Amino acid sequence: MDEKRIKGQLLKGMTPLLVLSVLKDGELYGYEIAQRIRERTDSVFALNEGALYPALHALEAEGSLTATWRESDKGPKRRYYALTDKGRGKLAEHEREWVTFRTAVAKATG
Amino acid sequence: MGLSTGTEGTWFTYLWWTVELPHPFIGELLFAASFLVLPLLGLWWISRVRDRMDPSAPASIPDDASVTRYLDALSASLGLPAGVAADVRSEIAAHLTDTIDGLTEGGMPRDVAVTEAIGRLGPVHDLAVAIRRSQQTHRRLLAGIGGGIVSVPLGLAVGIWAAVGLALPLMLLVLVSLSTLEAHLAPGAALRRDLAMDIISLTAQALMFGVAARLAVRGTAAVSRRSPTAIGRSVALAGTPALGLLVLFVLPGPQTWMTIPFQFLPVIGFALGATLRIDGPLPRVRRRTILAAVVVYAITIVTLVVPVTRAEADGWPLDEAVGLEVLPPRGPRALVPQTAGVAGAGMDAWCATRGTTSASCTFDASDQGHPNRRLSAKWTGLRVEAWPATTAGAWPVGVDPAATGPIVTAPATRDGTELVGTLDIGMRRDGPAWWVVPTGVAPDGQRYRLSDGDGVEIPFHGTVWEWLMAPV
Repeated sequence: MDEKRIKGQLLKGMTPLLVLSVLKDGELYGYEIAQRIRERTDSVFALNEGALYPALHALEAEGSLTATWRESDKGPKRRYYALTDKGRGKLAEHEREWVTFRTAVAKATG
Repeated sequence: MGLSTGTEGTWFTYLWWTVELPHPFIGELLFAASFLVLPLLGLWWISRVRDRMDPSAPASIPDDASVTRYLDALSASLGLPAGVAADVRSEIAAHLTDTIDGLTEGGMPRDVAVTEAIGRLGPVHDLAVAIRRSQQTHRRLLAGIGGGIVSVPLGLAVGIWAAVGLALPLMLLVLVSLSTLEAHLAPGAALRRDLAMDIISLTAQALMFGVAARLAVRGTAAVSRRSPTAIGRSVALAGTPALGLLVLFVLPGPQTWMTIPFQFLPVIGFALGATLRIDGPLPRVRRRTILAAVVVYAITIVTLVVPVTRAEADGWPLDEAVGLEVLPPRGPRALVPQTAGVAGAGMDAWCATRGTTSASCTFDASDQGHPNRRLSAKWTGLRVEAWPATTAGAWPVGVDPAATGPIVTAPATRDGTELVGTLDIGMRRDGPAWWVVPTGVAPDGQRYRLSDGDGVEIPFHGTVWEWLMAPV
């Protein structure tokens, strides 16, 4: 296993936060979301692509994302995801939780 | 479906639901809504459901057998409505295309890139289950149930128009066929148009229920993202017996032996509507096939109706009622008021149905030109009697010569110059035509009839069960 990569339960719990974070700047389709997460985290977070789509669909079902099929310049039609107001609120909440968590872990580990 | 007003108020009826309205204006609004707004809403809802239920154009997928196999296995394992499953398949196909392109651009051989792209998505069954779980939330399930409940009236509203569209040409064709048969092949026959119309009406209702069930199942599936096949099967399993029991025990209507099997057509329509090709669009049927089906159906109905034809009595309308010899003899002329009409017929008589099982009959002794303007007080045991009638067409013209006695009797009361009695025929299978006569006991101790009577039609109106249990 790549030492830099974080996998397992920690990543699974953070998937919604990561997905919502990369969509903050604008709409993206699934492959782009996976790529964007990989790029932004220097491949530390290599999102399991099999977990990406269930996470996207769950966020869409709860109303945090909207999805629209659109023709793309290259390749097949793609399903673009965008944040909703509810999604923005959820992202802000996740970010607050993450700061609390990070601070607590930093304190605990000295 | 209709709106009726009377001295008692304004009533709005939609299918079996009837409600008294506080103001006629509300009734007019409901009336317009049921005929126009609800069907339009129903059509809109059908198009919305269709978008989610039926797959659009197939997604372009990478030209590779292992990718196709992966996507086919994914589609088969998803257990989602076809339209949603097609969307998921297209999305995963696009993802695989992008991944394979990205890997090959980085220098990876294509066959290795395909394996890597598929591997990154993980086992197909795990992916399918995870996507299904993410789609089938509790919130969507509740919304789906709500969607299904809303779909029923919308489906019925659309179904009514579909039923009218089916029934009108069928009725026209059958009526023309029956009239032609009567005129050319069976002169003197009275073919049962009422039965034919009942059967067509029930067929149209079957279509209506089918449309409502289909929309309810697909509406629930589309909103809840559950498999329409599973929902349809559950709805059919639960709804068909319930609707069957409703038809058997609750819903009243005109019943005959011939129409009883057809009473269950709406139940069959419901079951078929909930299950037949529920996961996709219905097959397109060619106009020629529809026309052939309509003609075959019309021929079937005519074939069913002809054997129950009743012979028309010769010379109808008749000057005098027939078959009166089986009744008690006419009363002594000195004691029975006579009318100016048929000589010796006794009191004027007329009957009117009251409700669905009884008739109120009045016998008038007020002929101004006759010395006996009132019924003699010497009569005792006054009563009205209902005898089986002989008919001309559907109309009673006298007493059935084979009758051995009255089916029902009821006491008659004097009301001025009139004798009035109300007969409760009850639910009997051997109707619907009856001949009603007043009788009384004269001073000589004999029972006589005081009038030649009048015919009355009380068609059976009840549930299938009541028909099956009714005495003959």
